[in-house]
Amino acid sequence: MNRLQLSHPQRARQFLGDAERARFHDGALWQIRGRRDQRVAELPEWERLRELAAQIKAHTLAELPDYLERFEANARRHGAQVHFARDAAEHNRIVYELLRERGVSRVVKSKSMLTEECGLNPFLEQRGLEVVDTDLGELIVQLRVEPPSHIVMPAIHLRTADVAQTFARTLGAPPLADPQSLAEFARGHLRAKFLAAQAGITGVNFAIAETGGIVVCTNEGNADLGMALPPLHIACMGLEKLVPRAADLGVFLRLLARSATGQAITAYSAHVHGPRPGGELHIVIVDNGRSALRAEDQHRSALRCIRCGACMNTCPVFRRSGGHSYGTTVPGPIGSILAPLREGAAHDSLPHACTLCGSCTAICPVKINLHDQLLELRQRQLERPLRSAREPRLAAARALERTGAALLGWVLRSPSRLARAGALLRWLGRRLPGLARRGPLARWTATRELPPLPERSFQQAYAERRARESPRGAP
Amino acid sequence: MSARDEILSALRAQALPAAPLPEISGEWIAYPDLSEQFARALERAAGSLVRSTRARLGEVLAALPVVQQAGRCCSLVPELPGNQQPPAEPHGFRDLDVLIAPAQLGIAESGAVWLGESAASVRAGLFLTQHLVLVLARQELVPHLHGAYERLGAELARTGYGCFLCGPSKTADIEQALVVGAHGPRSLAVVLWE
Repeated sequence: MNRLQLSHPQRARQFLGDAERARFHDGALWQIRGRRDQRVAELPEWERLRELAAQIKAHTLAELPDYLERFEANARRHGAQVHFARDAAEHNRIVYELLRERGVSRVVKSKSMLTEECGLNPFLEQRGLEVVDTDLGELIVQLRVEPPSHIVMPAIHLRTADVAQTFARTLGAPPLADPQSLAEFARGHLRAKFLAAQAGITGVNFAIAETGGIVVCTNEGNADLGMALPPLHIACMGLEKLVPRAADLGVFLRLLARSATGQAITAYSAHVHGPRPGGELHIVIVDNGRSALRAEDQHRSALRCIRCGACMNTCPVFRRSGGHSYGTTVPGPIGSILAPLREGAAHDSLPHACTLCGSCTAICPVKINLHDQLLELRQRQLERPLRSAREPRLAAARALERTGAALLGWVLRSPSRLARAGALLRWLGRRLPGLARRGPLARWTATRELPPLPERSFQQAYAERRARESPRGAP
Repeated sequence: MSARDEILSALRAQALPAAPLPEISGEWIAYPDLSEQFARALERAAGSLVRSTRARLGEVLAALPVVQQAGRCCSLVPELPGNQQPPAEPHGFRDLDVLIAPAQLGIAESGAVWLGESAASVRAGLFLTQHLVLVLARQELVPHLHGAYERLGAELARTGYGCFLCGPSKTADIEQALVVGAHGPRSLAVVLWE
């Protein structure tokens, strides 16, 4: 709860309190961004792939109800059972009932941002089930009772020593000092969990309407084990995960891993049509605010997102503030769009966690205009009616802004007023920085430098120069 | 109203501008030698390529260090039978050292191979085995994923479980340090024969 009550800058300050860790985080993500660039440069058709991906997703969203029905019918043909959930609570109920009816008490899970969004783990744990996250990064944050800080690398905010300490404290691991032996320890721990599991829960990267199949991508092979061993497989997906044709995957799988980690393709891209022999497959399709987002002309394209995390790796704010500073399931630029639109004013600080540099927009594999949307969300905050008494500071800020804009308009309407205002500003500018570091303006100036202001206006300088260069007057 | 009908009717009530579905066609990247590119990409993914001829396939497989050191080896490739039959139950693969299986096609661009019906009987073994050896005919190489989906065609939907597999299982979840052998095989060798 505490995390939500704080704003992004407050949570970022907590992360930045450990300067060495923050530097490591920044460098690690920038390195992944660099690897992405290398893999991208190898493909002459990269920009065409992005354009195709954007068009395929825009088309699928435009005809989403038809594709959902087609997917449902085809998935059923293969023997899968398809469920729909309006919201997180309904999703959790459906999954729990499936498990309860079959007497399941041990579940292995592969990474799914949707189940994080729905809070499935605590929901099942409160009802007495053992739920083990099997992606190594997810396992680490699960053992620490933390949310993932990144959608592709859930434990990127942690160091090796943190992981060693976590394994020792929660799993009784011996002292281990390097990633290799820690991963080996987790392999042994999780293999026993896989072999004992009665059900596997996975996310879905893509769902193919024309075939009724689902695609799940991992590097560890944990989703594949969770689908191959237990007799019950529950796949949870947001309704935006559809693509029309199997051939569309040629575009998306070429984009996904290159954008995410700088790999040509993930180690495992599983294509599942129906349950394993003797098993059951249940696909839960979740809305949870997605259909409402589809109605937003300016933000619909956010539903194209394939959760590669490239916008996070490249974002100068994310790299320096850490994923937990966003207080959302999906952090970073895309999360700063999704959370305020779906969950409202509690996330008002997120669209401001952005320099508008546009790097996210430039590399998004499905061409979401992320930074434009963040700017639009800032504008929307200014236009939203106030819940007056509860937001006195925002009301004051708006009044100040209105007054300021009116004053600026008045100044700009007259050249002489502009010249005098300029002179006043230059005079103030030489004295103000010191003043502004104290008092109410300090929140702004503490992290920003005012550039040195010139002695004269451009017009004055230009006139003097003309006078110097042609002393007998201009022709 | 059911959740399904409520969601679908809410979506249908929204008027969205039409957006055409693009054709996926045109020029894609071309490689002068598919097997060279395949080998490069596979090595980058921490796998290894071993070349062979059809005639020497059994010999080449038997000479692989992982095969020589294997206590328990299961093989679907007639050229080198293993010392145990594929178990009927998926959990039966838990103590396997080496699995040898045929791959159906390979992608030069990424070093990935497709395992579909040809490996269905050993599906859990692909992930439970300590080491994986896959056998692929050189003529089954395609340049890129588009070619792979074209080749799979309608077979994809008839394949209960199929996987593009690229290198051994890996993770970089601790400090971005690459660790090979996360949950699945600790090594992957592709034996490419012609």
